[in-house]
Amino acid sequence: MKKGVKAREKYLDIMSYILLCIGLCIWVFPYLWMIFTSLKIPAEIYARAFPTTLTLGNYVSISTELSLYGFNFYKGLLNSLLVAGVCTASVVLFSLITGYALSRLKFRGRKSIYSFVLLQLFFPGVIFIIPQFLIVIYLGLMNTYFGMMVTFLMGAFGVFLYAQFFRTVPQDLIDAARIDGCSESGVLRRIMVPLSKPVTATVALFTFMSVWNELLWPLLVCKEPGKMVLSVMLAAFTKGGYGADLGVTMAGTTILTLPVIIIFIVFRKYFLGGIVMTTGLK
Amino acid sequence: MRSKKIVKWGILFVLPYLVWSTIFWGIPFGWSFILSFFKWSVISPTHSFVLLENFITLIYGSPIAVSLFVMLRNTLYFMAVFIPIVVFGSITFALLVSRIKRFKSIFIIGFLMSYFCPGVGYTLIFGEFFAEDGLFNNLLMNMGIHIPWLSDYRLAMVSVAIIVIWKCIGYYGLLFMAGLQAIPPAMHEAARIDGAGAWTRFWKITVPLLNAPLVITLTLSTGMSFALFTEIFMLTGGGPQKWSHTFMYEIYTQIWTYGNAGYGSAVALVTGFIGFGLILLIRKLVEREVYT
Repeated sequence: MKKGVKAREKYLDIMSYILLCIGLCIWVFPYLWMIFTSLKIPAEIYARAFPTTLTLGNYVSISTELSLYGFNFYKGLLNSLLVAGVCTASVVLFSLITGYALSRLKFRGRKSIYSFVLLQLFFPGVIFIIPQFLIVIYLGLMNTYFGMMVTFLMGAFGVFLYAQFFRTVPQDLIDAARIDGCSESGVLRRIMVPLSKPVTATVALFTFMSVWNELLWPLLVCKEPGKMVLSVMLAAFTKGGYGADLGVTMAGTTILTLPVIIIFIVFRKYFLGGIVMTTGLK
Repeated sequence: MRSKKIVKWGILFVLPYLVWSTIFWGIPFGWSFILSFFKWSVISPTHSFVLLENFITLIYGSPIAVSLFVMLRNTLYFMAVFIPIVVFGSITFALLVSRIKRFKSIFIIGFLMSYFCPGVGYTLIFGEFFAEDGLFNNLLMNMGIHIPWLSDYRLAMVSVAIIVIWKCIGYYGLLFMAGLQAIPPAMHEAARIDGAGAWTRFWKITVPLLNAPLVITLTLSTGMSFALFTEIFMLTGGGPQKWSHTFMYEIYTQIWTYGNAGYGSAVALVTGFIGFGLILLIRKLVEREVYT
């Protein structure tokens, strides 16, 4: 009987692997299709699944093709990097100091500020967009980089993660540093920052991804082709009915998507850690 | 003296966040309620108090505004396709991955990638798949089938749901996997000794103990259904015949095309309330105290 159970277990294992492999192929197929299509020569785009000759021509033509309509594709890439980069740096810096102050420094109103941060986490984002948009208009930030960044410069999520983390740092460590003559900013710089590296990685990666992937906000704030970020530019170009060539469109899509995929694969540890941290609070 | 210094640092550290939160969170929060009682134009500086007119327009619709019930129907239709499949799929994925011993991380990474993929990116890819002469129809042509994925009003939302299912299964699957790990193996062992078969054990032990990840998944997927935008904006434009016109798309249209900040804000408030209410309702219905 035991032998029968064992055989059945083995059979189920093999079935699991087969099902998962089929699933994996389906799930990864869109990326492979995107990359292959972007590398095809025009004659093979619709004719063949896999290209016989590879070309980087589409990556050159996307720049020339978009410039006909006033877009500068590679400038868009730089704009995306700039906006996402500045937002990431800002979120990390301010979340770190705010989270530190809220968890380790004693001052009046600390508890109520922390409750406020927790409250912020639970509100649906949809109700803020229009008033935020009006504020950006009235502050004269339309069509500026700062306008595209400003609502992403800080966030309750980062503050919460840092505060939760700093809470777990033993007080003895801080006291010892203070006795040794370490200043308040020294404690932060020499002890807290190095200790919180995993949190920093998680906050930075999640922020970078969400700003890079964002469509609605930069679409509302920026109508000037020269300042558009990559996602908006691609959406505007493909939606504009300019009759973009499929290979060229997929070259643009690859440039938008592939960096994110690579970052995700390289830093997968922090993404998995971040998911665990974020779902703990829901 | 020392503690005074700490107080100073504390306030200094919190100050930037408080200022930012006031301008971009506190003021928008209060303002969104005020705005929804006004006719407030983005383009011209005119605004007038109209009491409940915006909410009445939202119920009855107008030539430039889609009725609340149309958007609600579309969102519920989307949820009816999306949620059962994504829950079933992610539980299956979690069970399969928990079962195997090697190469776990390859499968997790492969399925999870899509959750972090840029919306514009995957929508452009799937847009080509779903096109009239796109990849799916080319493959189906051999069998003599042609499916109007995006141009049939009943199918448009289903096609969008397929994309979002592809996006979410890895992420939700990971949540269920964490839930499966939390089930003590001794429980299964004890039930097995008592003579319970695999099927009984799955329904009497595994499913009830997956309540926590189920609640999280339902919360996240409901929130996602009410925030649906990129896929609609890129693929259907709310059509055909407004059958994929979602709340977020309406808010965008009102503010971008017509500059109606007041009306758009009323839509946003109602969206927020319905979405939040639905999540609370689901939690009330599904959430159970589970003892292991």
